[in-house]
Amino acid sequence: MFLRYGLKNILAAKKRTGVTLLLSICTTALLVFSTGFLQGSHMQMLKNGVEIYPGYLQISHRGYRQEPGLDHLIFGVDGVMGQLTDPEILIAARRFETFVLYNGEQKSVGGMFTGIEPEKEESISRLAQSLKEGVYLKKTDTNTVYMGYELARRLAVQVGDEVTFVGTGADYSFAADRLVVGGLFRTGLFDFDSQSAFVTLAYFNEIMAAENMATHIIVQPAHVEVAQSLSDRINIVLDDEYRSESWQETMAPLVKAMKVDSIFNYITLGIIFIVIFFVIMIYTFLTVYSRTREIGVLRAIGSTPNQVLALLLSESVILAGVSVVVGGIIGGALTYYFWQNPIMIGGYEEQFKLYGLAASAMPTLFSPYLILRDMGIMFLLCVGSTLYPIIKVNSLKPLEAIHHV
Amino acid sequence: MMNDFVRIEKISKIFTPAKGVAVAALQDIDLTIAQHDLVVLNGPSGSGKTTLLNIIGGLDEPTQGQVSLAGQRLTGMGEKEWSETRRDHIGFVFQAYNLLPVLSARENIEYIMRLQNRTSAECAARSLEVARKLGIEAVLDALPHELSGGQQQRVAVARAVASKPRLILADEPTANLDSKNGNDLMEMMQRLNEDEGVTIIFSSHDPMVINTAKRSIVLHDGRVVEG
Amino acid sequence: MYRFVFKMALNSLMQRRSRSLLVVLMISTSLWGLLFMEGIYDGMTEQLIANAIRSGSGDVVLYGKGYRREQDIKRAIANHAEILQVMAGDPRVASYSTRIMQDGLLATARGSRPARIIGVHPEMEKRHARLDEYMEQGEFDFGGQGKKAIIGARLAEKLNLKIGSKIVISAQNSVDELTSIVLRVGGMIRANNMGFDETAVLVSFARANDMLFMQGAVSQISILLHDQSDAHGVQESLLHQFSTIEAFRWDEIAPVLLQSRQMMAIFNQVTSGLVFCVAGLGIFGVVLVSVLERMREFGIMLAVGTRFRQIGLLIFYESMLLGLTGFALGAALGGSTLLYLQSHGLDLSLMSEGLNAFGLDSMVYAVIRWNYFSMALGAVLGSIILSTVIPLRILRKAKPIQAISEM
Repeated sequence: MFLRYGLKNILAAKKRTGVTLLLSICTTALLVFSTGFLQGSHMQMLKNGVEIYPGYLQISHRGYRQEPGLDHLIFGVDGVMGQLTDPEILIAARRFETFVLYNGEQKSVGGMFTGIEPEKEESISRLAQSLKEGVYLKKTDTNTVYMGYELARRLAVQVGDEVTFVGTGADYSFAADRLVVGGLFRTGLFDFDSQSAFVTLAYFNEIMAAENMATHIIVQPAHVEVAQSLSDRINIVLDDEYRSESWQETMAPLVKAMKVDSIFNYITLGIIFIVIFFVIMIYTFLTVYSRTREIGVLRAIGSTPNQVLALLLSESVILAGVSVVVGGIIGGALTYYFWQNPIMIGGYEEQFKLYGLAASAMPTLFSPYLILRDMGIMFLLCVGSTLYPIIKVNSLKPLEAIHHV
Repeated sequence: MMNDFVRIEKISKIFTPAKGVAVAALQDIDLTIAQHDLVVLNGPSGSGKTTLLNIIGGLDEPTQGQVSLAGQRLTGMGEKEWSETRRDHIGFVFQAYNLLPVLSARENIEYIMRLQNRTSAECAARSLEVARKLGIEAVLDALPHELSGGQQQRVAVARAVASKPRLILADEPTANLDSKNGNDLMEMMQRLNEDEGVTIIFSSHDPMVINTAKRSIVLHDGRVVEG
Repeated sequence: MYRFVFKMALNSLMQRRSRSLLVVLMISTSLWGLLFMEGIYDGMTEQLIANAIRSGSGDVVLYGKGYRREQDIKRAIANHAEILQVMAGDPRVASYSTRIMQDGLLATARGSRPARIIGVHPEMEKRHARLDEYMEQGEFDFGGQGKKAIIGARLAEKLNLKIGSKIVISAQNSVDELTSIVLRVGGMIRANNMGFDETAVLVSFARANDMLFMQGAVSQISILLHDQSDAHGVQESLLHQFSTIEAFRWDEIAPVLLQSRQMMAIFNQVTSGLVFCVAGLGIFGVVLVSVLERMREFGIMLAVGTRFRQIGLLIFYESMLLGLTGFALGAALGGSTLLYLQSHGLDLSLMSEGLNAFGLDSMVYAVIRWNYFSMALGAVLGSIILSTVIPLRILRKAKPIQAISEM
């Protein structure tokens, strides 16, 4: 009965109903969409960050991150590769990273010099896809270098030109050679593009005296969502010296930066929500108070305070329920649409480069769980914002209420 | 027992405003009202009629004294008990009708029975029965604002009696009605008093209305001066 | 008469105490939140810009002709003494610093990283960019013979450098030879300017001069101004006087910084707009209801000879009182919060890693701008006027004088 009575009251109080519905629907849609956008764009940035080069899972010497030097290599890397038999492992590739000084015709620039297994990298990183000029590395290449576009620009070299490098071999010997630029890549990560160059691992091993050594093994899981648990399993198999880290660990600073971004976004939303809840509260207050006399009568003819509370609450619950469902559907639909058709953020590439991100297409994240969570939060907040007026009017004595003007 | 269905003992009500002098609305009222009686509280404005009705119905608390209904002491009960007592035993009719604006006449009449968790069939049958007695069966589906004052007050009376309370309290029920409507309403109240055996206490200062009562109690300056 | 109407307005608000309080609270808390948000967000943006300017280009930066397009150490400024003399006489210039810059490699026994070698005069930098304040470890000093280097904190982390660690820096000098020098780490510096923290190797000017064979020339002159808005003028006059240099403003060097300032301004305005629209709706609702439910009261007032205009004034006063009280409270709360955060700062060290990734310090100092308050006041007044006009029109149509006869 209260539900029907409540429903009639809702239909009768058009102003309150209109304003409450409008605001709550917009707020819910806003929250649902913002969450989808935030999570989606953050995931995209992380995905880009992870997939361009670092990979979902890295195995390295326990001390490498602290001291990335020749003391902390994976020695006997072939044996370690042999231990990686987990069926979840799609592919595993060796990398040897070091820093050298590149010398072009006129300029010298320091940069990363890395040996990779080119055919395996194609299914692990986006190096091959990021080709801009020339060709990607072939397994049989020798002194061909696949160079970052910005690095090439800094060295003032082009495809076909020669560069020399000077560095330290794995045996601490002096290492230097002439390289031929075979291809240029541009991933969009400015720092990466201006510092990296790749050669085949076979050539690298020879020139740097690094046979059967590597700085990293990059593992591509069959399912990227389970990277962490795969990493945990690999750690059990590995010798104590080495450890496997999932992208959540290797990309920790970026994950944290995303968290900070989320926090500030939610602060902003919070401020908008505060005023919205005040307005819902005010409109509820006005409506409920214009019915004070009626509430007094309800009490006089035998409704208990709890029944009156139930009636008024049922009205809020209906309004909040309808708004949350409609707002959730609108927000969800928007989120779904932009999940399928990512938002193109043109003009902000500069901004993103500043933060070391390469992403101009931002899909939202369509997650039913997050949508329901936000709908739940909004429902509680919408009902919550009506509590004060309801409790206040219900605390009047019946006689006061009847005589209220 | 029959003779003191409603028992009012040493009731006083003193209003103490924040500023100014305390005013005694009721002083030392002692009354008993028999079951099935039709009693009018009679007296000029400010004589304490409404205050006394409110105290009997638990809408107001006496400063002193106590009220009992069918031997059960009412004074000092909690909110919830009072609500239940009003719901199950006492019907109210207000001067300003006070129907619930968004509910139809039928829903208004059924409201208290719904609170008592009666079945829909029961509610429908009873509301139709009461409506026939009061001559409002034709307007049962109308909303209060579509009804005339007389019709609204009859719906209010129907709401008060539908749940078969033992006592009906009516505060100046005819004050907003013209004399024709006022007389009709009082005739119906008389009939209900006889047919349903419900005890009715109402307040009025209209001589015509007062004549329909079986017993008249006259109040003046908060004291019973007659009856 | 105005005083009398004012008193009536006040009384009527006091009668509807709870709802008046709600409106005042709504305006003040949302204003408080907005001011806090604007002040902190602008503070962050300004900090980002200030960090980048101080440790980087300065407000205006001078290079040798053609250096910006191709960062060749040969394109240096040889006549810097002459330029410095001009700047010393320019009242717009607050400070300047001459630097030698070259990209190279920093190597230790265990690994190497690309680095930007920056030769500086420590005393000049202390006055100019106050780089010494950015020191995380060690002293801002290159030792007697310039044998110490100060390393960007992120670079130091990556190579696991400690104070006293031996490092080799290599780079190409101005006659295209590859040269190296051995130094010891004298300190770590963190300017929260990512590029700087990740690559900077500060060495003494004399050392850099010898190593890179600069023959007294400098790569860069960084200039800080008393008033940033003079940047264009200073740039123009220097370009006019010296044909051997090129001059850039900070926003030309890092347009993305200017862009983030503009984006923040737009973002703040959109958020404020949204908040005030919703708050306006709240004020409107309260004024409308308080007009409608007093139809009878206004009817009586009109019946005894009050003019409609006076009723309008009454309603206007009421909304004005509500709006301005809310504004005053919100502005006072928000203003004092910002004042506190301007001098004491907001300690966000819990999120420091995430903030550093954005180029921010973990201590954020709020910015206060007059337009926060003037815009808010404008928005509040606007909502008040709208919230008065519409109910008044409804009131006029309803003919309240007839309302009394209906009772």
